[in-house]
Amino acid sequence: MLSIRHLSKTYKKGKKAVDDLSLEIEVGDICGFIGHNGAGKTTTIKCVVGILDFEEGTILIDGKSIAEDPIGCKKLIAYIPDNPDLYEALTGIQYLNFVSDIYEVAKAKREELIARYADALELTKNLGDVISSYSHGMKQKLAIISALVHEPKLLILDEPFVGLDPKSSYTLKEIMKAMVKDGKAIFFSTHILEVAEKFCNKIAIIKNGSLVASGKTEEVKGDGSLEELFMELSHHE
Amino acid sequence: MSKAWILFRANARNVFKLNLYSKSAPRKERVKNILLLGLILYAIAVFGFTAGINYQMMAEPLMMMDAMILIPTLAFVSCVLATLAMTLFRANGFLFSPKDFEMLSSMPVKSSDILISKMMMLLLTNYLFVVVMFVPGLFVYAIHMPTSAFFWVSGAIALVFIPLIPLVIGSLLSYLMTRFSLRFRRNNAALIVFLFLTMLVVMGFSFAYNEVLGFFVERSADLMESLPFIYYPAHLYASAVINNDVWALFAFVGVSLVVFAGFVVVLQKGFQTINAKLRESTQTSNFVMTSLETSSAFTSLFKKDLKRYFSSPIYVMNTSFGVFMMVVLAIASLIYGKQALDMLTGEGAVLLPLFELLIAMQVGFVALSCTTSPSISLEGKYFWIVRSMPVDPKTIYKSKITLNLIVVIPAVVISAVFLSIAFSLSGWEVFGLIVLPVLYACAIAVGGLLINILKPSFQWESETVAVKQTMSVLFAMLFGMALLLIPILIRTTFEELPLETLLLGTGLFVSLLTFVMYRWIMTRGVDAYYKFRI
Repeated sequence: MLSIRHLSKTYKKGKKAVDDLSLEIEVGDICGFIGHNGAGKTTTIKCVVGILDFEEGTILIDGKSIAEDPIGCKKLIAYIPDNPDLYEALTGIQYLNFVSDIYEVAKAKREELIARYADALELTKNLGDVISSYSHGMKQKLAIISALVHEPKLLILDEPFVGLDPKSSYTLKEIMKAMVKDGKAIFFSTHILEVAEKFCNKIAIIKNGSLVASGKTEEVKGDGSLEELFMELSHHE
Repeated sequence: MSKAWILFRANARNVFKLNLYSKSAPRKERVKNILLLGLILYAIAVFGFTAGINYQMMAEPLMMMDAMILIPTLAFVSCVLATLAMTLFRANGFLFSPKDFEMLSSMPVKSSDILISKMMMLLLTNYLFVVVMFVPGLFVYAIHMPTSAFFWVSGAIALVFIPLIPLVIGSLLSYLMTRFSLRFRRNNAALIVFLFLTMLVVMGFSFAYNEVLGFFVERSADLMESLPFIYYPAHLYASAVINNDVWALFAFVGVSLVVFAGFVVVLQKGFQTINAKLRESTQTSNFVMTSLETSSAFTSLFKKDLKRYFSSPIYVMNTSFGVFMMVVLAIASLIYGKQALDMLTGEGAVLLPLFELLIAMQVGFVALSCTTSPSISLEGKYFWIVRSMPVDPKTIYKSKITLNLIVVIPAVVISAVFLSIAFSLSGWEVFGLIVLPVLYACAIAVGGLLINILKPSFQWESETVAVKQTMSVLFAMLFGMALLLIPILIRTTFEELPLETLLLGTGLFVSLLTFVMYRWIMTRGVDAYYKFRI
């Protein structure tokens, strides 16, 4: 579903934020992307979703290249940033309708999905309020609903559990499980190693822009815990 | 070091982007910013020079009437009005509802320190205008009248203290305006109306500037007599200059300081509460899912852009004032006939035939109405949304151009209809009054967008910066002015050219230019879209 091959991304001042990164995510995978602050997680994710361009490598989504067919790729994915800045002057429902229009979601389908996910995340009552009045968690929930409303094949999330209350975190995990069961794939970054360890069937660890470990969770962590492995890799130069 | 000073220093560094001028900044950025600063300083210098010319024009008649004191007094009052107007627009976002309010509130600093640092920032920007409006008045006075050292000392002291009281009044008015607008459900709409009305008064004053100057000269004696009742600090300053009265100068400084300090003392008590209140937002939490409307990607983007536009009073003010004035002038023409045009254009009404004057005005107002030049920059932190969506950049660009046309074209048509009734214009003339401004509107919209694609600025601190202070907006303004010069150049080069040919030629040129720019946007502009660094 997602194939990243030899991705390199250099910023203006010559700093290589991502260096020759390769990663494969198949249908049915939930892949946790782990790394310290500034390791290159968000840069990688932004390259995958077509927000940032990159100099080297290819990114294929369901076989399509994000560089050559950005619109075709974006139709297949949904992205939720770590701190979603949404159009604050719109109401929640206006924003969801806007996203649905862009992804050309049929009227009946969008009504069904918005109702389903807004109810699940307990946001229905607030959909008529302007987004500027929302708390951080409510904005996060709205961004999640907007990502799910067009039934993406690949869901990409940057720190999705930050700001969510325990119940919403649980709901989101249930939604994610249902998605992969349904033949979709999920790629998300997180700092919560327990979540990654228990929830993801694949793990990728990035350090200073390069992937230092990746593969099936059980194989990557071996006999120890993911936390132990991460600490070991962090200290190892 | 006091906390207020530390806050002020950080604020100034942040607002004026001082780090971009330092040697450690990238060379390209540094050069760009130095050039921009140079341009701004040049504009301010031109403004000061114009003020000086105006004072000089008044000097001769005032000399004959022995009323030269009116010059520094008028310079003083102009500074007061400028500070008042500037504060009215800047206090909201600076003193009230500042972006850094939560951050600063969480720090161990007193409200009074935050308030003082904010007031210092407001003062600093006002001093620029005070210098260019006040100092030329002093020089013009000094050219015609003997001056003592006391005159210059009192001038220097006045320079420092002039903005204090209008700053307080402007801040209070701004606060009241914001509070009042919050009572409305659509508080932004209420704020936009307030701002337009205020601007209308200010513009009315500046349009009638010559009449006002003439009135000042004719009624100088009466004015000086009634000055204590109009603005007491100005009377104190004038008394100090006329009579070399040190005590009057002390009184002026004292009054200014007392008012300013009083405001700081009173406001600092409620500063935290007021700003917390202004940030409050309420949720109705009563939404019930009903049927949803579906739209095409273009319509949806356009609706989003429209909502974004009207959610930002500063954006509306800065880009709709031209069309607003266009309609106001057309309505005024319906009531007052040609007198309304004379008031706006002065000499122009005499020099140009009526139809040419009307076209020039319509086109001029259109050139002031470019919503596209900050439209890409304004996506700012929200740009991730459309960037991550499967939407063709061409659709995004078309939506932004359409917004500009929707803002301008109805106003062009309405004012053309009103003007045709007011001046009994022929069908062909009404057609010309609509077509050429519409062609200009297309060129301004497309040109503004092209410039913003080339010079986007996503990292802005406040919408005011994105809407008023970016290279893109500046270049788009220059582009609008250059477009206006085309028919003027053709007219002056080919004096015998029939009007129809001139308008047709201009229309064709503008259309061709628009087409070329549009093609660029839809091809290379799309490539640029994928390279924007956000």
